Amino acid sequence: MTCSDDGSGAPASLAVQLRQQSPVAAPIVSVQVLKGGLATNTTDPVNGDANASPLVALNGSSGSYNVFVDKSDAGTESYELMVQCKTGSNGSGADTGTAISGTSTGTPIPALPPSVVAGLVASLLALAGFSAWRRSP
Amino acid sequence: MRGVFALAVAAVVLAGGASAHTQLGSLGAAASATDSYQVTCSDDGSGPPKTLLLQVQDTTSASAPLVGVEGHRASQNSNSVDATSGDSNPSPLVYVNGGSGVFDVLVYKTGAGADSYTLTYHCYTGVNGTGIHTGTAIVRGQNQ
Repeated sequence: MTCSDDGSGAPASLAVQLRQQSPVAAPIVSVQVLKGGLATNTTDPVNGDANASPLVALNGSSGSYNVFVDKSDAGTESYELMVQCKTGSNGSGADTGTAISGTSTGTPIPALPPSVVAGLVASLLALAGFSAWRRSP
Repeated sequence: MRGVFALAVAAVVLAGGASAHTQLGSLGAAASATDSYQVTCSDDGSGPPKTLLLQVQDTTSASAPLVGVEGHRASQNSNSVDATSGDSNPSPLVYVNGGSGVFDVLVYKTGAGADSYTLTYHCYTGVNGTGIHTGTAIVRGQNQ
């Protein structure tokens, strides 16, 4: 993830949230965010319901963040990851420039459409078929 | 099969008391509490490193959230979660084939509630946790 000033203001934090999707299986899915030794995490405790994990934010300002999605046990899982760079600390302020790229998924994440950020739907273990959508600010 | 055997051997070695490379830690009550470390794999004369082995054991009572570890270097990641809090069994042993250099290691938990853990980390000369033990050093980053 890269946070930058898209004209809305300099980024101060990256907010992330995760929602598990079908299939409803035993593992639970978490996301960790790392930048410069600072880290946070959030877990969706219930698989397949409408509720996402708690929203968390990492105050890492502008630049690249590492974002990891993992699960607690064996078995294929799907998830929706929502990411948004914000101009304020702790996920406050306005949305600002947010870009995402994939590494160990094996499949490049498609370029995001030109509106504002960001979530992506993916599966763990199978790790195939990323798609992306954006959330209006 | 050879890889499975080698990993099993490594697990035995780890279980056999390579305690110099264990890190005790705790996570605060906030669900987002995360500890970060940097583990450096280097050639201590045993050979250049190919992989970092990781394992975590949740040492708090069974009512506590689960504890996991995530290892990362370049585009290589792996994670492992201790499925049962407070018992004598650690999480599955996992590895990150990152070569020599600095690995980011995060310890996290799956919900609110304070937790304690023991992190085990070892650099090995072979991929997928094979080979022999080589230079391993850790520095704590964030402590939540």
